[in-house]
Amino acid sequence: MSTETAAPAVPMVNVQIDGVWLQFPKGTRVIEACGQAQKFIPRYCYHPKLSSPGNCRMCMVEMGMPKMTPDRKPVLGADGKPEIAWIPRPQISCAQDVAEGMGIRTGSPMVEEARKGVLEFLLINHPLDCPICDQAGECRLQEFSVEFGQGESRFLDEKVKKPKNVELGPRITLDAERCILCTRCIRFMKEVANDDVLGIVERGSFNSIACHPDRILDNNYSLNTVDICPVGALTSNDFRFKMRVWFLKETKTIDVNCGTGANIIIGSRENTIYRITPRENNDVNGVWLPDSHRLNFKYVADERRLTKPTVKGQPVDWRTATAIAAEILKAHTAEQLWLVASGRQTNEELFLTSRLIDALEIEKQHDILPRTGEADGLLIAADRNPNTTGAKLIGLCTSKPGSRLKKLVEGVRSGAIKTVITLGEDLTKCGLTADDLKKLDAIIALDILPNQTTPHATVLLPASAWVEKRGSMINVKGRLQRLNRAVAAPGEAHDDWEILRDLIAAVSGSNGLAVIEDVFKAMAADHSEFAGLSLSKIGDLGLPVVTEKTPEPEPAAAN
Amino acid sequence: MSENLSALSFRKSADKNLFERMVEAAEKTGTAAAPETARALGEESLFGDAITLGAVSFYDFLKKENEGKKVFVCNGSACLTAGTQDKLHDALGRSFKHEEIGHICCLGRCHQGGAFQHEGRNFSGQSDAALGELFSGGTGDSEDRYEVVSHLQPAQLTAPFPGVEKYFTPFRDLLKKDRDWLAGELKDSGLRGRGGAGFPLHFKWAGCRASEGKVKYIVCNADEGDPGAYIDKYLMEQRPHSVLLGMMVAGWFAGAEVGILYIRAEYPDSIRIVDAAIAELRAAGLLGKNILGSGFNFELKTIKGAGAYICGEETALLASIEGQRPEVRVRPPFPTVEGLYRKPTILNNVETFSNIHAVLTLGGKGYAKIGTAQSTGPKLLSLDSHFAKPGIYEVAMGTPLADVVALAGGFRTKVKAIQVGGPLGGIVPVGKIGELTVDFESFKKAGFLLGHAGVVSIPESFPMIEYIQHLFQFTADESCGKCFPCRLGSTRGAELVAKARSDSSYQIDRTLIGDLLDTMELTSLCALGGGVPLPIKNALQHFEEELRPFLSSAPEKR
Repeated sequence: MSTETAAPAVPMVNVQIDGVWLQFPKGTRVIEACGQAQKFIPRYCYHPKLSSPGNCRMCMVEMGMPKMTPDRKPVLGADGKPEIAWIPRPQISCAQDVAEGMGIRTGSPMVEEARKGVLEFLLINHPLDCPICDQAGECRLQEFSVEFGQGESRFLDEKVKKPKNVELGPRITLDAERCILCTRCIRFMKEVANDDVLGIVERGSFNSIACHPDRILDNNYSLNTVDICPVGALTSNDFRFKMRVWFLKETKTIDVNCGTGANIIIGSRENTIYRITPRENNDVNGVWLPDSHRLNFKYVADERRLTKPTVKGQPVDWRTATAIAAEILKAHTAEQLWLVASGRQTNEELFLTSRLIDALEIEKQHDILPRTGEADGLLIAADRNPNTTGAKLIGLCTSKPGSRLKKLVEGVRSGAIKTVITLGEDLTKCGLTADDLKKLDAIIALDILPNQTTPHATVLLPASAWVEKRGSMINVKGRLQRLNRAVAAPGEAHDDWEILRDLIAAVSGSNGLAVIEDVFKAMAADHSEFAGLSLSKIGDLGLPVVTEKTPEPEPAAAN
Repeated sequence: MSENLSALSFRKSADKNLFERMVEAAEKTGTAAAPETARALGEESLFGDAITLGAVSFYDFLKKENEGKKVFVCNGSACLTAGTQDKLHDALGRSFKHEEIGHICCLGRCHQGGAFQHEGRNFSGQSDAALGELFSGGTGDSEDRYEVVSHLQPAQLTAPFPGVEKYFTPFRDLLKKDRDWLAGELKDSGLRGRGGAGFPLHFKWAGCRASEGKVKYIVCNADEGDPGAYIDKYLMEQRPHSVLLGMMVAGWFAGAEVGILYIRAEYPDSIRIVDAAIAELRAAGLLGKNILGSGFNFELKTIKGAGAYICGEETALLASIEGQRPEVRVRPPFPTVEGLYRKPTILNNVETFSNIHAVLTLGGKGYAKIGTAQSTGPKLLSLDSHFAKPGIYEVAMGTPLADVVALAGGFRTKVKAIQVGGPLGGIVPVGKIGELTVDFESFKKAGFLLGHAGVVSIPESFPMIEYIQHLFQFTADESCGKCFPCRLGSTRGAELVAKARSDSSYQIDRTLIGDLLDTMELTSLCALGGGVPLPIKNALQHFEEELRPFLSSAPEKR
């Protein structure tokens, strides 16, 4: 191997942490190096994605540099390692990078005293209203007070009174008494959201977080400030007072509102979703999530959810519904059929859809419905379908999704197409009118909620929402990621892949797929991008499978 | 976070400075915090509204509460211990409504007491009759008179000004010399910063000189906020050319073309006199483009502060000039690498720059002959009204402190302690004066701090507990609030002492106040929160008996 092709290695530096010499890449923050050495350093203002103002003074450690001889050579100790000259005062670890020969002590008596002292100060003005605070259970003030403090403040005098219940914006409420002025929210709005709407006003102990008069915190990323608020000062209007966080079941999955595939955590209890928060994935969304995405889950619990298969509006059992659907399909020639798949389907569903297409021999009579909008330059992709890449890869659409839909419209209008299968899409959004739909012999629709098409459906199959199923998707950058089930589908609704499997079986005989893992295995056999993988091997953070970036569809503005 | 703001502020450059616009805006109504004013200012600089409002709401003379104030009474340490301000307040109450009387912290009239500011002019020691005349349309007497004594032969900083032509001869000679030569002289001189920290000047200057960048700045910290200090005020008002020369030399040395003096609003005369001296130098061809054909370009300007002690901290001062909230920033990067508008900057105190003339005329080695091995050169001290002859005293570093007291004729009242070096300097019991010499090492060794060497006397009649409360309250008022220990500790300290003073059944737990001071000292971001524990600990140690009634006797270990 030639050295020319090797990537330039990041130089490593030797650092002593609590007596143990370790190596870290140059440029590592001291606080991060300590974390990597399993020495967690408490912090309030420091956030790895934001600048370090150094104001909370919680992340203090003892720091030192090698003792030098007069001719600038390190003095070596008995163990042959450099001796360290310790700085007499504790230093913050958030604002400094590791350096060669640096020594760090994370738990010395001086460090412990410093942390205890700062924590005690913080509790002076804190209202201690944990029983009614939404942050309780994930509050750094609570956690650090127990772990690093003495759990109480001896300063029991009067607390500084500040405003409570300040509506900073439509989705955010500020309790200034709980605020410890770490400025994470200000820095987030400035540095990440590029919207300087928050600032500190006044001076000293009167300092408080404020929105400029006549401005409100209504940015589409505002709820990230709630995520990063280390205490309960900023709360989400959508979530506050709804549920104690320790009751929430956390499910790691991905967002499906656009092609970014932001990694998220769904917080649910007893089959009800209470909130969605971002999950760190530095190859996808960092630690952020747009408000519009995280709040878009209420429809899952809509009382109009489809819960029972129907044929011509009459409830039937699944076996009957599937059999009737298969009969309809078999009663038509291949030329009379068309299938509308969806960029919201998982890879496994798309793969089974491609099997159904093979069984029906409708090689070119299918497409997906493209969804586009404006990319926001941050996390929202122009492609509002979460799995266009998967649909292209598995062959449900051409490189121009939606380009065949006009053939569907022409075919329906000319009478050549008699029956349409739609897998989660409203056909009236594919260019067909209600009158067009009435002309058809039959519509077989799979969906979760009623739409303009469902009243016309001959066979209507209730499916599962994205929070109710497992599977995988590939984002706009070609990263394969995993969906997980947070809640169960309502009523008799089935998992989409099972509906497709049963339909294929009814049309062309048994296919031997018993569990979703079988589907993935079969898909991997057909598509080399999935070779050697399984749903469990994808892992929580996903992996790149399509190396070339799929070009995003043009925004639909031209229409 | 300030990276982008610094860049935006730099677009407007130092000529059309956002902060100056804020100060101008406040001159009409007393405040720049009106939302429409803040927004208009922010729009000009492309700053967000909240940023601009955050900045203006910080300063005493820009914030909303300042609106409608007509006269400002000094509440600094020297006027406090002089005991003049209650009477002054009463006297002013006869001419002004209660809500028209504001406060201002130290006008540098510490040699007289009774200081206040009215219509941009400072007064002190006025009789009732003089006050009556002033407020009934008279011009009044605002002249500042105090002793200026040099113990040095010949005097350096206090030497008579010989005129621009003669005074700038060493500067003209320097323009023909080599910068490495000056680097050597500065190193030989051993000159250390006079703002309080005593950092070796040649390191700072060489650091800025070595920093990459076409644009560099020289900034003079003329925000002499220490109550009791009027050393920089003296230099600016009576020897303005000395500080300007020092800045010009720094500009030539580091390759900067702009020098800015950030002068506190409490010193209106300093601003006026320095501006006049700058104009004089420009007229003499010593400022501008291609100065004396040397190829060196340099301009100087003053910027007026707006009432915030923290602006004396260098990173806060730089943020203030940029129009941001003057909050202390973590170092590194140091200003020599990333200073004003994130460009390499030499930032020194007035007195430090004023010493450069002596380094040039005496040579580095000659300069170092004044003073001690580690603290070289002359040092000015400012003495308050409790001395028989209050004023500015120039001594060689290393001079016994007792000699300074003797030069000033001793104390005119019975004094129990002096606080040297501002509110963050040590409280020295009079019995210890004999142990100290005027240099950084002597003070440090004895557990005090030379600082900037303003001297405030605490008379025997003044309760030490009240002085401690004053120090805590001063810190609470002036803390930028950015770092938690300073913001929270100072306020709580002030509250504890206030409670102990007002409630005879309450005593402060010794362990509690000790822990509070330790936390502030160990963990604060800058010298304000980190420094105020020193004098309070001095007081607790040296005035144990006087303070005993306010403290619990049984120390318990937590």
